[in-house]
Formats: sequence, C-alpha cells, structure tokens
Amino acid sequence: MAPLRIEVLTYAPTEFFHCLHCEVVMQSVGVGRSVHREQREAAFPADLQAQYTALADWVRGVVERYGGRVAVRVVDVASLQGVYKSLRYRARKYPAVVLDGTVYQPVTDFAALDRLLDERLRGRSLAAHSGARKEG
Amino acid sequence: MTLVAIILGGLAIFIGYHYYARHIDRDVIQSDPRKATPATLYMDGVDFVPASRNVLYGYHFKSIAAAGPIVGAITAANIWGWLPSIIWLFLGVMFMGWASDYSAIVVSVRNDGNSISAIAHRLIAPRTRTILLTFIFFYLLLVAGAFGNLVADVLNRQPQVPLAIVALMVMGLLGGQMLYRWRMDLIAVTAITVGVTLLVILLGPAGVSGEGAQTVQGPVGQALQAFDRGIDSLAGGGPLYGYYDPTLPPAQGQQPGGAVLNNVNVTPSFIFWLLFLCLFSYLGAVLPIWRYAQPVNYIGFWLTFITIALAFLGAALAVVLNPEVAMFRLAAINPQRPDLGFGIVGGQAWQPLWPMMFVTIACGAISGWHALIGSVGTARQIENETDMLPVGGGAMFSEMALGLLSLLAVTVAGTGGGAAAFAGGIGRFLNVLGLPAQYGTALGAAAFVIIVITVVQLVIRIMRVTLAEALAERMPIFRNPHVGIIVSLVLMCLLVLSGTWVYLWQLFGAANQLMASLSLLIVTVWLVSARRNPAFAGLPMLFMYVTTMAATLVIARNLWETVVVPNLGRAGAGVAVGGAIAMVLVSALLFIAAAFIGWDGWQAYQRYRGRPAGEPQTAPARP
Repeated sequence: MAPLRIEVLTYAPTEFFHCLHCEVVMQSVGVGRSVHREQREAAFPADLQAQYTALADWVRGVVERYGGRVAVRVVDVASLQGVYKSLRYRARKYPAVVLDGTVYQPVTDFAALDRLLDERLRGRSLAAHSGARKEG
Repeated sequence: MTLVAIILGGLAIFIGYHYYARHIDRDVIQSDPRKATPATLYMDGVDFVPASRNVLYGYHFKSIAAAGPIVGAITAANIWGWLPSIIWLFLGVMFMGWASDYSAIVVSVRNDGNSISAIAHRLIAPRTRTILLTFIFFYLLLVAGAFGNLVADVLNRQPQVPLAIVALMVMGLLGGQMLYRWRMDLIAVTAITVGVTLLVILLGPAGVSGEGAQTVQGPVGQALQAFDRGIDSLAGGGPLYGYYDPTLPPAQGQQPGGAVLNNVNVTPSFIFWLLFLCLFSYLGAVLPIWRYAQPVNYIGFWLTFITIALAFLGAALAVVLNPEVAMFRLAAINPQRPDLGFGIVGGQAWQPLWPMMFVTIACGAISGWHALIGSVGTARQIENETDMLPVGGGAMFSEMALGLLSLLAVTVAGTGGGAAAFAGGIGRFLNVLGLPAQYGTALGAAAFVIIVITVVQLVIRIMRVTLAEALAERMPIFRNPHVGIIVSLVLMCLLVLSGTWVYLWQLFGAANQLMASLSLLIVTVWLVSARRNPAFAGLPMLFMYVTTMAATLVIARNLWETVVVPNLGRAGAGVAVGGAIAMVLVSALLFIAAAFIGWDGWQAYQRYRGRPAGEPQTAPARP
C-alpha cells in the first residue's frame, strides 16, 4: 500500500548556503556551525520560531509513530514550489497540512490533526484488508 | 542562429546527461538506493539533514550560480569569438563539468560526508589540505573586492539601476514585515513586493530615446545623472585619482611597450555608490534574516527567474518573431585575432585560445568551487544515492544553460563587456516578446546586479561572524556585530578603491580551474583505490591540470611584459608594478603548489594501483 502523502506548507527558517566562497571557508576553518547557528537564530521572530518548533516536533513524532506508512514533505512557502502549492491547494494560512489532497489550515491543534491522521490511516488499512479479502 | 544554439545546447544536455552521465552513475559508481547516506546515518539537524532531490537541486544550483558563468562566457566571446566559446561550453560541461561536480558529491557521500580537502588529507598528503585552505582564504578576499567593484561600477554607469535596488531594499524590508509580522497572505505579499520592484525597474528607462552613445535618458535617468554630476562636482567634475587595469582596453595615448597610463578613473560618484553598496550589505549583515536578507533574496529570485525565463523564450522565438534579433552580431572568430591569439607580440598581453579560454569561461563549463560546495554542503544532505546525479550533474548542466544565455546575449548585443553586454542582449531577447528594448535592458541590468549584490551582503554577514569567532576572545570589541561589519566593509572598500582587486582577479580563473583539477585528482585516486575505472575523472583531470598550469605561466608572462617591464622605476606606477609583481609571485606559487599536488597525486595513484585500498565501509545497507 502506498504511504499516506502528507505535505506541510510552512514558512521555513532560511539559512544561506549560496555564498559558495564563504561556505567553503566556514566549513574548512571550523566556524561553519557558528555561522549557521547565527542564521538560524535570526531566521524568525520569536512567535514564528515557537510555532515552527512545535510543527517540527509534530512532524518528527509522525515519522516516528507511523514510519513507512506516511511520506512527509515539508515545503517552504516562500519559494517557487511553495507559491505553486499554496495556489494549488488554496492555502492562505500557515502552517497548512495537506493530507492526500485535502488542506487543513492554519494548523494550531496538533492533537486534533493526530486524531484525523489516525482515522485516515485506519480507514486506509481497513480498505486495503477488505480489498485483499475480496481478491482472496 | 539563437534557436540553433539553444537546440544544440539542449542536445548537449540530453546526450551528456542521459547517455554519458547515467552510464557512469550506473556502471562505474553503481549508485545504490539501498545504501544509507551520511545524511540519514548521522542526521543531526544541522549539517547532516536528508533533503528532497528537488530542494537539493535548487540549493546546489543557487550555490554554484553567481556572476561567474555570466562574466566568463561574455569575456571569452569578446576575446576569441563566439564559436570557440560555445564549443567549449558544450564539450566542457558534457565531458568534464558534470563529472567534476557529481564525482565530488560521490566521493564525499561514500566517505562519511567529509569535504574534499579532508579526503585529500587522507588520500594524498597533509600538505594538500593546507594548500587548499590557503586557496580558500585567497578567494574570500577576492570575491568581496571583485563583486563590490562590479556592483558599484554598474550603479555608477547605468542610471536606471540604482532606483531598482532602492526599491528592492524597501520592498525587502516591507516584505519581511508583511510576511513574518503581519502574517499577510503570501500570494498578495509576493504580488505587491515583486510587482512594485518590477514596476520601479521599468520606470527607470521610461522616456529613454536613442541608442548607444546617442542615448538620451528619461526623467529618472536624467535625475540620477544630475545627482551623480552633483557629487562629482565636489572634485571639480574630474576623477579623484586613477589606476591601471590590465584586463581593460588601454587608455587613449597608450603606446605599446610605453609607460602604462591609468585606464580606470575613480570618481566621487563611484565612491558614493560603493558606500550605497555598503549600506545594502550593512542591513543584510546586521538585521535578522527574516527582516531583510530573506525577503530581499525572495523578491530577487522572482525577478531574476522571470527575466531569465522570458529571455530564453525570446531567444528561442526570435527566429520566427524577429529574425533580425536572432542574428549574431559578434564574429564567430574575433577578426582581430584570426590566429586565435596564438601569435606573440612583444610588449602586449598574449591571449592564446589554449590555455586562456579554458580558464576564462570557468564556471560555465567546469569549476572547482562547485566541487567544494558539492563535497561540503550538498553531500551531507543527499537522502538517496540515486539523487547524486540529478543534483550534482543536473545543476551543472543548468549552469551551462545560464552560461549559454549570457553568451547568446552578448552575441546578439554585438559587443561590450560584463553587465552591459548581458543587459543589452537580454533587452533584445525580451524585445522579441514585445517589450521595448530599453525596458528589457533595464531588467537585464537589474537581474545582474541582484545576482551579485545578494552574494555580497551575505559575504559581509558571514565575515562578521567569522571575525567574532576568530578574534572575540582576544579582542572583545568584535563581540559587537557592528564592529565586525564595519571592519569587513572597510577591507572590501580598500581592495576596490586601491585597484588591487584587479590583480587578484587575474588569477581567479586559473586558481578556480586548478581547484577543479585537484578535485578530479582526488576522485581519480579514490576510484583507483576502490578498483573502479578512473577514466571519466582522470582524463578531464589531466586536461585541466596541464591547461591550468600553462595558464598561470601565461598570466605571469603577461603581467611581467605589459606592466612590470615598461613601468619599473617610473613615478606614479607603484600600485601597478607592485600589484603585478605580487601576482607574478602568486602565479609561481600556484604553479609550484600544483606541481606538488600533482606529484603527491601520482604517488598515491601508483600506491593504490599496486595495492587497492578498497572502498571505505561507511555505509551499511538499509534494512
């Protein structure tokens, strides 16, 4: 059975790796971690940082709980792909979670989302079992 | 002609990627989707983070694409003509460029995510790592000065551009506030910030008439020209001082073999725009990422994406909609160099096609920096071994496309160097789609400046953190971010205003390509140690190694013949002579360093060929 596709549309912290010369210098002289830590700390205002941390914890928990039964993709909305997905799913409030094409936005109650996810996965398992029995 | 070039470029990408690169990935490297990568084994959320191949491709492409592929291709077309340049772009990327980027990622992924220099240390010799680190510092110094000069020069010469950059700054600040503070709708914020910046860019050339030297600026251009004149009047309307740039045409009255005359003038308005760049970079370095750097990059991305995508479309459709634009105005072979530059004229710079074109085009065809980025950053995020080719190879083929667009732009524009030629050509391509040429040119110039200026602001941000890391314990004043930023900006300005960056820039191409051959050398040794056919990396390595070493000698000869000999002991030529002698010495050091590394590599090759070490067992199979 194909894994349940979960797309998370959110503002993601920006770290700049695109200055090639600096990146090499940082890594080679051992200050890479400091530079990136500084950027991560300055990536969001405090409230968005807290929201992102909660979202990241939820994503990690989902992957740990369901393993290969789910496929999670986190999309930074401030990007070409993010704008495309926002238009496609009509997502306007972030974070938005897209479960098999249905969008939930903005997600603030992760417990409710967990229950929804459980139901979806149970439903898919039952459908797969009954399908298998019919074939059998 | 433009359509033919695009079709040939597409064919080069298709054949190179689908047949050659995939064959190497499948049969030589044997990338295995079941093998765990360092990103999944050591995931720490900091350096080792598995990422989707689409995201990584974008990241890797953004990492490697800056001003190099644009300026290198344009310079080569002007010196030798478009034909040899386009042939090298195609063949270089098909047989060498992708191999360099891809193989650096492969070696790093198969060696626990270590960087190329760390692997060189293990495979070849400790001194190799030291030499690589020295190169890296040399580059950081160079980029701040060269890019800073490039941006200040465009802002000073093209009166339509500064307003666009001011708009980018204001919209960046506003965009950060709207997205992250007011939490406004992303689509609306994108439309407002990108739309307003685009509008301001297009406002710049409104009312412009005439072409070339007969151009009469519109109201915005005239206002900025008046502003520049006002600043210049502080020094009586003339330059403050000048210096000699051996990469530019000689000054009027320059005699072959005679004393070198200044061909670059530093005016008060140039200094003003350099200070404006400092302000832009200061904001980028001191404000939180979300407040300025991120939204500026976001808006800049959309503007460059729109400009480049439409320019490609215009170039492809030109043959149908406006065949006159599709005609190449630049000669296939430069008529001033029918011998392809191989003839030597005493007292003049010698520019033989081989080796000089191969170090001039640089990043558009093959670049050592890409290999370092591939090994340091990208390799630690590869989620699956089968992503290595689309990410490393794919991004390099995309960079070739950017180099091709730049080459086509200068070829249809006729002549000119750097930003002006790029902007002029983009203007012609957009004209095919119905946009008046002056608006398209303004878009091209703005896109060029945005690509470069976003790099400069981040160089300064990273320099201030690095300074704090290195010096804060001994000099607590560096804990204050403003101090680190000001010191970094002062260093950049000193390089630009003294003209010494020019001499460092002379060796940029050679050192860059030397890095490519070193990266391929490490890959070759690794392939031999793992009992694999090293030909796909070894043959390009030999070519680039010999080419680079020859180029450093030619550069040293040119600086000696054209700058040192005629000016030695002359008053007022101290910077030119000192800079040239310093670069001759650096050329010699590069040559010696390359010889040492080549010798170490050859010994390692012999050692591993006789006694294969086997591939390191760092990647257990996935369950």
